[in-house]
Amino acid sequence: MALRGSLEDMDVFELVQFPHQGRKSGELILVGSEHEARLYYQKGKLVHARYLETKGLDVLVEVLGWSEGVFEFRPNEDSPETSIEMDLHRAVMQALKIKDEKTMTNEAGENDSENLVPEKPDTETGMDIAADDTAKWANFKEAAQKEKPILSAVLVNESGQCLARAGRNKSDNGLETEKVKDFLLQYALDHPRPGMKRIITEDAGGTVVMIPISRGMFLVALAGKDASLGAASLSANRLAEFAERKGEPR
Amino acid sequence: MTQPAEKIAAAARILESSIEEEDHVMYACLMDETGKRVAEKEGAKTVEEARSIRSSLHGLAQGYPRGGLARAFIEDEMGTIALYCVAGDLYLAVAAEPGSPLGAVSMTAGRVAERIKSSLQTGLE
Repeated sequence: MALRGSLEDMDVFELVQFPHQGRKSGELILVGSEHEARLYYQKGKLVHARYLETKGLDVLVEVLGWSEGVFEFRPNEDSPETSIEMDLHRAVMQALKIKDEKTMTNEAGENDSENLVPEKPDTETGMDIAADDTAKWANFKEAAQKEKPILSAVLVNESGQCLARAGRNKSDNGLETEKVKDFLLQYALDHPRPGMKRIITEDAGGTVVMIPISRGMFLVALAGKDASLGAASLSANRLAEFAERKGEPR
Repeated sequence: MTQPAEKIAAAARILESSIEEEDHVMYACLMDETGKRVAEKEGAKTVEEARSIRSSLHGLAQGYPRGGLARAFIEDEMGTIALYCVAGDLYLAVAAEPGSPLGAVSMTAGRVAERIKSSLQTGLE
Protein backbone atom coordinates (compact mmCIF):
# COMPACT_ATOMS: atom_id res chain seq x y z
CA MET A 1 0.00 0.00 0.00
CA ALA A 2 1.39 3.38 -1.00
CA LEU A 3 2.05 6.04 1.60
CA ARG A 4 1.13 9.59 0.63
CA GLY A 5 1.37 12.94 2.31
CA SER A 6 2.39 16.56 2.21
CA LEU A 7 5.82 18.04 2.81
CA GLU A 8 4.12 20.67 4.95
CA ASP A 9 3.15 17.88 7.34
CA MET A 10 6.31 15.81 7.22
CA ASP A 11 9.80 17.21 7.18
CA VAL A 12 11.67 16.12 4.06
CA PHE A 13 14.73 15.42 6.21
CA GLU A 14 12.77 12.79 8.16
CA LEU A 15 10.95 11.59 5.09
CA VAL A 16 13.99 10.57 3.07
CA GLN A 17 15.21 8.56 6.06
CA PHE A 18 12.01 6.79 7.03
CA PRO A 19 12.52 3.73 4.75
CA HIS A 20 15.71 3.00 6.68
CA GLN A 21 13.93 2.17 9.92
CA GLY A 22 11.72 -0.58 8.50
CA ARG A 23 14.38 -1.66 5.97
CA LYS A 24 11.82 -0.86 3.29
CA SER A 25 12.29 -1.23 -0.45
CA GLY A 26 10.51 0.98 -2.92
CA GLU A 27 10.28 4.30 -4.67
CA LEU A 28 9.80 7.63 -2.90
CA ILE A 29 8.36 10.26 -5.25
CA LEU A 30 8.68 13.85 -4.12
CA VAL A 31 6.72 16.41 -6.10
CA GLY A 32 8.06 19.90 -5.44
CA SER A 33 6.80 23.25 -6.62
CA GLU A 34 8.04 22.69 -10.18
CA HIS A 35 9.41 19.21 -10.70
CA GLU A 36 9.52 15.81 -9.13
CA ALA A 37 12.35 13.75 -7.71
CA ARG A 38 12.46 9.99 -7.32
CA LEU A 39 14.43 8.16 -4.67
CA TYR A 40 14.84 4.39 -4.66
CA TYR A 41 15.49 2.22 -1.62
CA GLN A 42 16.55 -1.39 -1.26
CA LYS A 43 16.07 -2.85 2.21
CA GLY A 44 16.20 0.63 3.71
CA LYS A 45 19.29 1.67 1.80
CA LEU A 46 19.09 4.59 -0.62
CA VAL A 47 20.53 3.24 -3.87
CA HIS A 48 19.43 5.70 -6.51
CA ALA A 49 17.97 9.21 -6.85
CA ARG A 50 16.91 11.13 -9.90
CA TYR A 51 15.75 14.73 -10.43
CA LEU A 52 15.40 16.02 -13.98
CA GLU A 53 18.78 15.13 -15.54
CA THR A 54 20.53 14.89 -12.19
CA LYS A 55 21.30 11.56 -10.53
CA GLY A 56 22.89 10.49 -7.27
CA LEU A 57 23.77 12.51 -4.20
CA ASP A 58 23.12 15.87 -5.88
CA VAL A 59 19.43 14.98 -5.95
CA LEU A 60 19.47 14.62 -2.18
CA VAL A 61 21.18 18.02 -1.93
CA GLU A 62 18.31 19.46 -3.97
CA VAL A 63 15.36 17.85 -2.21
CA LEU A 64 16.61 18.48 1.34
CA GLY A 65 15.72 22.13 0.76
CA TRP A 66 12.11 21.41 -0.14
CA SER A 67 9.42 22.42 2.30
CA GLU A 68 6.40 22.44 -0.01
CA GLY A 69 4.95 19.70 -2.15
CA VAL A 70 3.63 16.20 -1.81
CA PHE A 71 5.17 12.75 -1.61
CA GLU A 72 4.27 9.16 -2.23
CA PHE A 73 6.14 6.02 -1.24
CA ARG A 74 5.48 3.02 -3.47
CA PRO A 75 6.69 -0.15 -1.77
CA ASN A 76 8.62 -2.80 -3.67
CA GLU A 77 9.24 -0.69 -6.79
CA ASP A 78 12.63 -1.70 -8.15
CA SER A 79 15.37 0.81 -8.77
CA PRO A 80 16.29 1.19 -12.45
CA GLU A 81 19.96 1.72 -11.54
CA THR A 82 22.42 2.43 -8.75
CA SER A 83 23.79 5.95 -8.34
CA ILE A 84 24.39 6.10 -4.57
CA GLU A 85 26.67 3.70 -2.78
CA MET A 86 26.88 4.80 0.80
CA ASP A 87 25.02 4.41 4.04
CA LEU A 88 21.79 6.44 4.10
CA HIS A 89 22.74 8.49 7.17
CA ARG A 90 26.12 9.23 5.65
CA ALA A 91 24.49 10.21 2.36
CA VAL A 92 22.12 12.60 4.14
CA MET A 93 24.94 14.14 6.14
CA GLN A 94 27.09 14.48 3.04
CA ALA A 95 24.19 16.11 1.20
CA LEU A 96 23.61 18.54 4.08
CA LYS A 97 27.27 19.42 4.10
CA ILE A 98 27.29 20.10 0.35
CA LYS A 99 24.09 22.11 0.71
CA ASP A 100 25.58 24.25 3.48
CA GLU A 101 28.72 24.83 1.46
CA LYS A 102 26.69 25.84 -1.59
CA THR A 103 24.61 28.20 0.51
CA MET A 104 27.71 29.77 1.94
CA THR A 105 29.30 30.16 -1.48
CA ASN A 106 26.16 31.81 -2.84
CA GLU A 107 25.85 34.12 0.12
CA ALA A 108 29.48 35.13 -0.08
CA GLY A 109 28.98 36.06 -3.72
CA GLU A 110 26.02 38.32 -3.05
CA ASN A 111 26.45 42.02 -2.51
CA ASP A 112 26.03 42.78 1.13
CA SER A 113 24.47 46.17 1.64
CA GLU A 114 24.67 45.83 5.38
CA ASN A 115 27.64 47.36 7.05
CA LEU A 116 29.64 45.72 9.76
CA VAL A 117 30.89 48.39 12.06
CA PRO A 118 33.90 47.95 14.26
CA GLU A 119 33.11 48.88 17.79
CA LYS A 120 35.19 51.04 19.97
CA PRO A 121 36.99 49.27 22.78
CA ASP A 122 35.21 49.16 26.07
CA THR A 123 37.20 51.56 28.20
CA GLU A 124 35.27 50.44 31.30
CA THR A 125 37.16 47.17 31.19
CA GLY A 126 40.42 49.05 31.39
CA MET A 127 41.59 47.83 28.04
CA ASP A 128 44.83 49.25 26.84
CA ILE A 129 44.52 49.52 23.11
CA ALA A 130 47.53 50.51 21.09
CA ALA A 131 47.07 52.75 18.11
CA ASP A 132 48.23 50.09 15.67
CA ASP A 133 45.39 47.80 16.82
CA THR A 134 43.00 49.92 14.77
CA ALA A 135 44.31 48.24 11.62
CA LYS A 136 43.78 44.85 13.19
CA TRP A 137 40.18 45.73 13.97
CA ALA A 138 39.69 46.78 10.41
CA ASN A 139 40.98 43.39 9.27
CA PHE A 140 38.66 41.64 11.65
CA LYS A 141 35.73 43.77 10.53
CA GLU A 142 36.41 42.98 6.88
CA ALA A 143 36.66 39.27 7.60
CA ALA A 144 33.42 39.33 9.60
CA GLN A 145 31.69 41.32 6.88
CA LYS A 146 32.21 38.46 4.46
CA GLU A 147 30.37 36.08 6.76
CA LYS A 148 26.75 36.96 6.20
CA PRO A 149 25.23 34.77 8.95
CA ILE A 150 27.39 36.47 11.59
CA LEU A 151 25.67 39.44 13.25
CA SER A 152 28.43 40.22 15.69
CA ALA A 153 31.72 38.75 16.75
CA VAL A 154 34.35 39.36 19.36
CA LEU A 155 37.90 38.16 19.76
CA VAL A 156 38.83 37.87 23.43
CA ASN A 157 41.73 36.62 25.50
CA GLU A 158 41.51 34.22 28.45
CA SER A 159 40.80 37.10 30.82
CA GLY A 160 37.77 38.09 28.79
CA GLN A 161 39.51 41.19 27.50
CA CYS A 162 38.19 42.19 24.10
CA LEU A 163 40.86 42.34 21.40
CA ALA A 164 38.62 43.03 18.41
CA ARG A 165 34.93 43.35 17.72
CA ALA A 166 32.58 43.71 14.79
CA GLY A 167 28.84 44.12 14.83
CA ARG A 168 26.44 44.18 11.92
CA ASN A 169 23.63 45.76 13.86
CA LYS A 170 24.45 49.27 15.02
CA SER A 171 21.63 49.41 17.55
CA ASP A 172 22.82 46.18 19.15
CA ASN A 173 26.41 47.40 19.56
CA GLY A 174 27.45 43.83 20.21
CA LEU A 175 25.71 43.71 23.57
CA GLU A 176 24.25 40.29 22.88
CA THR A 177 27.69 38.91 22.14
CA GLU A 178 29.06 40.67 25.18
CA LYS A 179 26.37 39.09 27.32
CA VAL A 180 27.23 35.54 26.35
CA LYS A 181 31.00 35.76 25.83
CA ASP A 182 31.96 35.88 29.50
CA PHE A 183 29.74 32.93 30.31
CA LEU A 184 31.03 30.75 27.45
CA LEU A 185 34.60 31.76 28.14
CA GLN A 186 34.30 30.61 31.74
CA TYR A 187 32.49 27.48 30.62
CA ALA A 188 35.28 26.66 28.16
CA LEU A 189 37.95 27.20 30.82
CA ASP A 190 36.05 25.00 33.34
CA HIS A 191 35.22 22.26 30.84
CA PRO A 192 36.09 18.90 32.44
CA ARG A 193 37.62 17.32 29.33
CA PRO A 194 40.80 18.37 27.54
CA GLY A 195 41.26 19.96 24.15
CA MET A 196 38.20 22.18 23.79
CA LYS A 197 37.61 22.77 20.08
CA ARG A 198 34.24 24.45 19.79
CA ILE A 199 31.05 25.33 21.67
CA ILE A 200 27.84 25.98 19.79
CA THR A 201 24.61 27.03 21.46
CA GLU A 202 21.24 27.62 19.89
CA ASP A 203 18.34 29.49 21.43
CA ALA A 204 15.31 31.45 20.29
CA GLY A 205 17.51 34.41 19.35
CA GLY A 206 19.98 32.55 17.19
CA THR A 207 23.23 30.62 17.36
CA VAL A 208 26.39 31.40 19.30
CA VAL A 209 29.69 29.80 18.36
CA MET A 210 32.82 29.96 20.49
CA ILE A 211 36.11 28.69 19.09
CA PRO A 212 39.40 28.68 21.00
CA ILE A 213 42.26 30.01 18.91
CA SER A 214 45.94 29.70 19.64
CA ARG A 215 47.78 32.21 21.81
CA GLY A 216 44.98 32.07 24.39
CA MET A 217 42.43 33.79 22.20
CA PHE A 218 38.79 32.90 21.74
CA LEU A 219 36.37 33.88 19.03
CA VAL A 220 32.72 34.33 19.98
CA ALA A 221 30.37 34.81 17.05
CA LEU A 222 26.64 35.40 17.13
CA ALA A 223 24.44 34.41 14.18
CA GLY A 224 20.80 35.31 13.72
CA LYS A 225 17.95 32.88 14.09
CA ASP A 226 17.61 32.60 10.32
CA ALA A 227 21.06 31.06 9.97
CA SER A 228 21.31 27.29 10.12
CA LEU A 229 23.60 25.68 12.64
CA GLY A 230 25.89 24.52 9.82
CA ALA A 231 26.08 27.96 8.20
CA ALA A 232 26.78 29.68 11.52
CA SER A 233 29.41 27.12 12.36
CA LEU A 234 31.14 27.36 8.97
CA SER A 235 31.21 31.15 9.11
CA ALA A 236 32.61 31.17 12.63
CA ASN A 237 35.25 28.63 11.60
CA ARG A 238 36.39 30.84 8.75
CA LEU A 239 36.51 33.87 11.01
CA ALA A 240 38.51 31.90 13.56
CA GLU A 241 40.92 30.80 10.84
CA PHE A 242 41.29 34.42 9.81
CA ALA A 243 42.02 35.44 13.39
CA GLU A 244 44.54 32.62 13.61
CA ARG A 245 46.33 33.71 10.43
CA LYS A 246 46.13 37.45 10.31
CA GLY A 247 44.31 39.00 13.19
CA GLU A 248 47.18 38.64 15.56
CA PRO A 249 46.82 40.62 18.74
CA ARG A 250 49.75 42.58 19.84
CA MET B 1 10.50 16.84 38.47
CA THR B 2 7.18 17.57 36.83
CA GLN B 3 7.13 14.79 34.23
CA PRO B 4 5.04 11.78 35.31
CA ALA B 5 7.00 8.61 36.05
CA GLU B 6 5.39 6.66 33.20
CA LYS B 7 6.42 9.29 30.67
CA ILE B 8 9.97 9.22 31.96
CA ALA B 9 9.93 5.43 31.69
CA ALA B 10 8.74 5.69 28.09
CA ALA B 11 11.44 8.26 27.34
CA ALA B 12 14.03 5.92 28.87
CA ARG B 13 12.90 3.10 26.57
CA ILE B 14 13.17 5.39 23.55
CA LEU B 15 16.65 6.39 24.65
CA GLU B 16 17.64 2.74 25.07
CA SER B 17 16.37 1.59 21.69
CA SER B 18 17.52 4.66 19.74
CA ILE B 19 21.08 4.76 21.00
CA GLU B 20 21.62 1.05 20.49
CA GLU B 21 21.55 1.61 16.71
CA GLU B 22 24.12 4.42 16.75
CA ASP B 23 27.73 3.24 16.57
CA HIS B 24 29.27 6.64 17.18
CA VAL B 25 27.39 7.31 20.41
CA MET B 26 29.35 6.44 23.55
CA TYR B 27 26.91 7.62 26.16
CA ALA B 28 23.48 9.21 26.43
CA CYS B 29 21.29 10.25 29.30
CA LEU B 30 18.25 12.23 30.28
CA MET B 31 18.74 14.79 33.05
CA ASP B 32 16.22 16.75 35.03
CA GLU B 33 16.55 20.43 35.86
CA THR B 34 18.69 19.67 38.91
CA GLY B 35 21.22 17.79 36.79
CA LYS B 36 20.16 14.40 38.14
CA ARG B 37 20.05 11.63 35.55
CA VAL B 38 16.66 10.03 35.10
CA ALA B 39 17.66 7.61 32.34
CA GLU B 40 20.99 6.48 30.98
CA LYS B 41 22.35 4.40 28.13
CA GLU B 42 25.95 3.47 27.58
CA GLY B 43 27.19 2.76 24.08
CA ALA B 44 29.74 0.22 22.96
CA LYS B 45 32.54 2.45 24.22
CA THR B 46 32.22 3.85 27.70
CA VAL B 47 32.73 7.38 28.85
CA GLU B 48 34.41 7.37 32.22
CA GLU B 49 33.75 10.99 32.94
CA ALA B 50 29.95 10.75 32.50
CA ARG B 51 29.30 12.33 35.88
CA SER B 52 31.43 15.38 35.15
CA ILE B 53 29.84 15.70 31.71
CA ARG B 54 26.40 15.78 33.29
CA SER B 55 27.51 18.33 35.84
CA SER B 56 29.09 20.49 33.18
CA LEU B 57 26.04 20.34 30.92
CA HIS B 58 23.75 21.12 33.81
CA GLY B 59 25.83 24.22 34.49
CA LEU B 60 25.53 25.23 30.85
CA ALA B 61 21.76 24.75 30.73
CA GLN B 62 21.12 26.55 34.02
CA GLY B 63 23.55 29.41 33.61
CA TYR B 64 23.10 30.20 29.93
CA PRO B 65 22.67 33.98 29.95
CA ARG B 66 20.46 34.34 26.87
CA GLY B 67 17.86 31.96 28.29
CA GLY B 68 15.86 29.29 26.50
CA LEU B 69 18.77 27.13 25.46
CA ALA B 70 17.37 24.76 22.83
CA ARG B 71 20.52 22.79 22.07
CA ALA B 72 24.26 22.95 22.47
CA PHE B 73 27.30 21.14 21.12
CA ILE B 74 30.68 20.93 22.77
CA GLU B 75 33.54 19.54 20.71
CA ASP B 76 36.81 18.55 22.32
CA GLU B 77 39.63 16.05 21.88
CA MET B 78 37.52 13.28 23.36
CA GLY B 79 34.54 13.73 21.07
CA THR B 80 31.37 15.73 20.77
CA ILE B 81 28.72 16.26 23.42
CA ALA B 82 25.23 17.36 22.45
CA LEU B 83 22.63 18.77 24.81
CA TYR B 84 19.00 19.07 23.76
CA CYS B 85 16.16 20.52 25.78
CA VAL B 86 13.31 18.00 25.34
CA ALA B 87 10.97 19.64 27.83
CA GLY B 88 11.23 22.64 30.14
CA ASP B 89 12.65 20.47 32.88
CA LEU B 90 14.27 17.66 30.94
CA TYR B 91 17.46 17.53 28.89
CA LEU B 92 18.94 14.90 26.61
CA ALA B 93 22.73 14.59 26.63
CA VAL B 94 24.58 12.56 24.00
CA ALA B 95 28.32 11.97 23.94
CA ALA B 96 29.79 10.83 20.63
CA GLU B 97 33.23 9.47 19.92
CA PRO B 98 36.07 11.61 18.53
CA GLY B 99 35.87 12.24 14.82
CA SER B 100 32.08 12.12 14.69
CA PRO B 101 30.93 14.89 12.33
CA LEU B 102 28.90 17.58 14.02
CA GLY B 103 26.12 16.93 11.51
CA ALA B 104 25.95 13.25 12.40
CA VAL B 105 25.80 14.00 16.12
CA SER B 106 23.19 16.66 15.50
CA MET B 107 21.12 14.29 13.42
CA THR B 108 21.28 11.45 15.93
CA ALA B 109 20.62 13.56 19.00
CA GLY B 110 17.93 15.54 17.18
CA ARG B 111 16.12 12.39 16.13
CA VAL B 112 16.16 10.95 19.65
CA ALA B 113 15.13 14.31 21.13
CA GLU B 114 12.19 14.57 18.73
CA ARG B 115 11.00 11.07 19.61
CA ILE B 116 11.24 11.80 23.31
CA LYS B 117 9.51 15.19 22.93
CA SER B 118 6.71 13.57 21.01
CA SER B 119 6.38 10.80 23.59
CA LEU B 120 6.27 13.31 26.45
CA GLN B 121 3.52 15.26 24.68
CA THR B 122 1.37 12.39 23.46
CA GLY B 123 2.24 9.59 25.84
CA LEU B 124 2.93 7.38 22.82
CA GLU B 125 6.28 5.75 22.08
